[in-house]
Amino acid sequence: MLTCQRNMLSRIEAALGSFLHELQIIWGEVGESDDERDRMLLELEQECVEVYRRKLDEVNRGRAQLRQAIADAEAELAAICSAMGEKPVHIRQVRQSDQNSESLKTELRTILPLIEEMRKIKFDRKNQFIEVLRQIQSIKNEICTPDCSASNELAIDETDLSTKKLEEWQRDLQALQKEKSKRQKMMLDRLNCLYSLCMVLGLDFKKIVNQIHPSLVEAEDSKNLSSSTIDQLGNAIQEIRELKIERMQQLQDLVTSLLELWNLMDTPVEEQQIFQRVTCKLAASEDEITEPNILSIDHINYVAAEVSRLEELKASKMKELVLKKKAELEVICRKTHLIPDADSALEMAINDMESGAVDAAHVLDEIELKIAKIKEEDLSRKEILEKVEKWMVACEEECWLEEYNRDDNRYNAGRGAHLTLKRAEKARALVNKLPAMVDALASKVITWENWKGTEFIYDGVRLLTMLEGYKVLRQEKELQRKRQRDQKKLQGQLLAEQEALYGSKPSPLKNPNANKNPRLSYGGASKRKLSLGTTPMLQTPRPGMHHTVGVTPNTRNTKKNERINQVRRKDGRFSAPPSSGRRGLDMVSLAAKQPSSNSTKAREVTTLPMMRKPFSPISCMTPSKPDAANILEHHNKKLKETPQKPLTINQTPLSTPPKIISTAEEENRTPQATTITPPSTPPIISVPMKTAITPASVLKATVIPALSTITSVEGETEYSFEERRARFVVPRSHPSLAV
Amino acid sequence: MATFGATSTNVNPNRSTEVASPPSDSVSSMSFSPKANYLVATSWDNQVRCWEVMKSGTTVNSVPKASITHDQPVLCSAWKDDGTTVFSGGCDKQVKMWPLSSGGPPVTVAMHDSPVKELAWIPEMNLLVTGSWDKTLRYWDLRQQSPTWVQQLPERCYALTVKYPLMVVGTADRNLIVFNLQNPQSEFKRVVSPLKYQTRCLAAFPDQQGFLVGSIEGRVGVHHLDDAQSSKNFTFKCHRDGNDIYSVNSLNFHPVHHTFATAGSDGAFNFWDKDSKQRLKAMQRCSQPITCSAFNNDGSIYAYAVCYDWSKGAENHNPSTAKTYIYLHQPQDAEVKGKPRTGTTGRK
Repeated sequence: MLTCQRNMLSRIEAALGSFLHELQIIWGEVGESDDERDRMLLELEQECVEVYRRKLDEVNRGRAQLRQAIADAEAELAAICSAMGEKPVHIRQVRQSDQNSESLKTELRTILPLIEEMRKIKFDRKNQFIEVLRQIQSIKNEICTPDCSASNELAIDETDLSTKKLEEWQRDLQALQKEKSKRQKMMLDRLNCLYSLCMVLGLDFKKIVNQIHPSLVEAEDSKNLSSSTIDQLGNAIQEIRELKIERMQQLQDLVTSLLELWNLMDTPVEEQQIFQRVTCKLAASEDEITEPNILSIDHINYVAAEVSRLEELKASKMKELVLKKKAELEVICRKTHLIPDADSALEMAINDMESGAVDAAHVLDEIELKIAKIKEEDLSRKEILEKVEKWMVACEEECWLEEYNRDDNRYNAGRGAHLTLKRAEKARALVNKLPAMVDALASKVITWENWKGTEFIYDGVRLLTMLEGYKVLRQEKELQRKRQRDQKKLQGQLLAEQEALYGSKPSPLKNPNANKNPRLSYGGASKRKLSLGTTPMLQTPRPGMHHTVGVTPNTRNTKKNERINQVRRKDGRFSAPPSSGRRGLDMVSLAAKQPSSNSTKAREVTTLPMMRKPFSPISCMTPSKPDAANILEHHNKKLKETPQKPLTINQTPLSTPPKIISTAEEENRTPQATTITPPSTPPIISVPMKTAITPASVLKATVIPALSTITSVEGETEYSFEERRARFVVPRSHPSLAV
Repeated sequence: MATFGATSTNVNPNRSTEVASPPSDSVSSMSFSPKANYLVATSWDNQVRCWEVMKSGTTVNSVPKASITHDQPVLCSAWKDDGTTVFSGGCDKQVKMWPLSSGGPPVTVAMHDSPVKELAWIPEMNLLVTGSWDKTLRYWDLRQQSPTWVQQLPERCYALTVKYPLMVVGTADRNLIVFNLQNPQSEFKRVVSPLKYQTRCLAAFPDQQGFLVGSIEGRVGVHHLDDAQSSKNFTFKCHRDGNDIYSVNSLNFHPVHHTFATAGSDGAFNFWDKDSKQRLKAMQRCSQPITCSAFNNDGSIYAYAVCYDWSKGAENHNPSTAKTYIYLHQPQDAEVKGKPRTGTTGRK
């Protein structure tokens, strides 16, 4: 390169030399003067210098421009780098290291692409910033209410485009995005909540939401997320929730009255079923009510309409109800043995109600109040009433025992005789306890009366009076018994006298079997003889015995009448004085007092008063004799036979009415009674089934309480439990039931 | 409020083992798998549930295994003889086949015009028999859509028992129709129930010589098919408490000893031996009725469901207090082994 330039210079010098030489020649030819020649040469030289200088200036200017350009480029590069947060060092280093070898142009050439590159990077970065900021802005716009968004308009700071700054912005953006999604979720939750509330309340969800912000109705993502909107939404939810609670209470009040009305009027289940979904929400809390439209005004009105319909129905049925309630009151009164005191007042009230003067509901309330009062009173009376019940039962047993003791055929060992025996034994024990029971009861009643300050009334009669009456009755009976004993003694003497005079006579009237028996004196007859004599008695067929009973109906009847009298007296009406000819004897005390061999005499006592005339033939007394003999016979037999013939308690008397069968009497003192008791029960015992040969016996419990609901519809189609529960209705035969 | 027996308020006086997570409404039927100790119960809450019952020594415990749902209350259930599949039918008028062992979804295999009250799998014929309140009995081959045979009944089907070749169907109006399954298309015999009240449950004798029938009036009839054996027929009372009479809800023969158990609305269950006419054991009354019961395949477990059976109508049902329990009782030998007084059974 340099040699080339040198060649060029030498060539220029050579050309100049040739020019000068040519000029010398021309000048020589022309004969130019030396001055002219010098002037021309000077001119030439000046012109040449001028040309060189001009060129040099030009080149110099070019270099300066180049330098300026490089400086500019470097400055720009530095600015970009600093803006980008990068170090511009390496460019400088590159240039300094190559300073000597590299010309300005190459330097510029190396810088220019760098600048280009940096510019591009900067542009990209800037775009990133713009993008991030745009997003931030848009989110801010969504989140913030419009008025606050204008103030903080975001601008890009050109001088700081560093990645750090970008990251900062991106963090901001992320935070904002998080905030946005949070709000979206909240918004969605609230909207859902609002929606379900609106559904339950039957409100127009869209309308409510539109009032808060129109954007909420639209589809996803475009919803206004500003705090105020969310707050408004929250307020709306609160309001609607309050409305819901209000309506819920309203509905529950309605349901309560509905249930009351149903209960009052025995509304059929089918009718109730329609409101099942409402009634089941009776005790539900606010958030448990989720069924659509259940709290809508329409629905509430619907339920209210049903309530008012039932109210109307109730009003029309009120009288019926009042009467029903009254019946209920009466039943309760009967059960508690209380006489409703203001009965007439109630009657009047009902009459007034019929004429419309009194509100039926008022009467109903009154009756209910009365029922409550009686129930309350019953509570305090309960203990005594139970005792009274026991006493009554004991009295009944006493009566039964008297009746039983009067039964001439009671020693016949028939089916179920052991049961009657057992009952008699129990009854005797019970009767012995009676006086103590009455005393205890009386003291209880006195305490109660002192406590309450009123008389204890039992079925309209003061209980104490009843008890006292009973005591008097008992004393009279005692007296009577004594008198009879005396009489009997007298009778015995008479008898003995008569026998001594005429000898014993058979009884032709009552029992032909008795003919076979020789008359035996009670005291002295040997047991053996007796048992021999009465053997045929045992073989007497039962119908014959029944006949015997039938022959003497009038005496039986009188006894029965007396018993009824007695019972009536016990019931509290003591107007009638006890008849002096009372024959109801307490066999227990007699039997207990007399030795067993003499018990026959005791038996006789009962028959004694049957005599109409003091000196009528003995025959009318004889029916007792076979019986008397029978006792002993039975006794003996029992003693002998007990082991061979154990009584079978498991045998169920499906067809044995206990009354008809005469039974063997068990003496209080006879130890054999224990043979009847069932064996003690081991942990697992097999019990024979209570069987019957098919077809089952007709003698069956006629009352089946547990089945009453089932049997009540008999005559219509029968239904099983499952069919009832599933509300299954036979389609063809009873379409009416399907309603 | 229902008061049962007035005396017992204890729901589990016999200290039986309670089955875990029982149905939420009354149990309508129960059956044990013929192969293993799996118990299936259907209930009025539309569910069919399955438990595995595990015995360790003298204790049993149960683990709920699986369940399916019907659209309506379920009334009856039965296992296939291989113990792989359960059939269940009810108020949705269809029978679902539930392949329990394969875990597949239930498939509808039978349809009626009214709720299906009873069903049974007859392994000897490879047929399913279903009885419904639509007064028909239908036989189903599981591979076909339509029934292989429809048997008209005089009334709605209330009870059914199968002991091949004997099948007895109890319907309303106290009809009992006896079928010889060797000729299922004709009635073998039709008798009026020896009991005077509605038929509630049936159980065929293990020797197929007759059947037991229980009625709503607390009575069980023992009925022999052969007229020559009619002298051995008798009825007996049970599930009564004084004057209160309760329905007999379930009759189950013990699979080994051939004694039987009765369960009733009074909440008690008893074990009986019909041959010696003895009650072997009377269990304590629960506070609620026993609606159904079942023995497992070897008779070592007796499952019974204590819940309201609608015997006192809807008015005595309080859904908020009504609870359903399934208990497992392990009968001792003395309770279920007949007394040695034999010689009258198994004669043709």
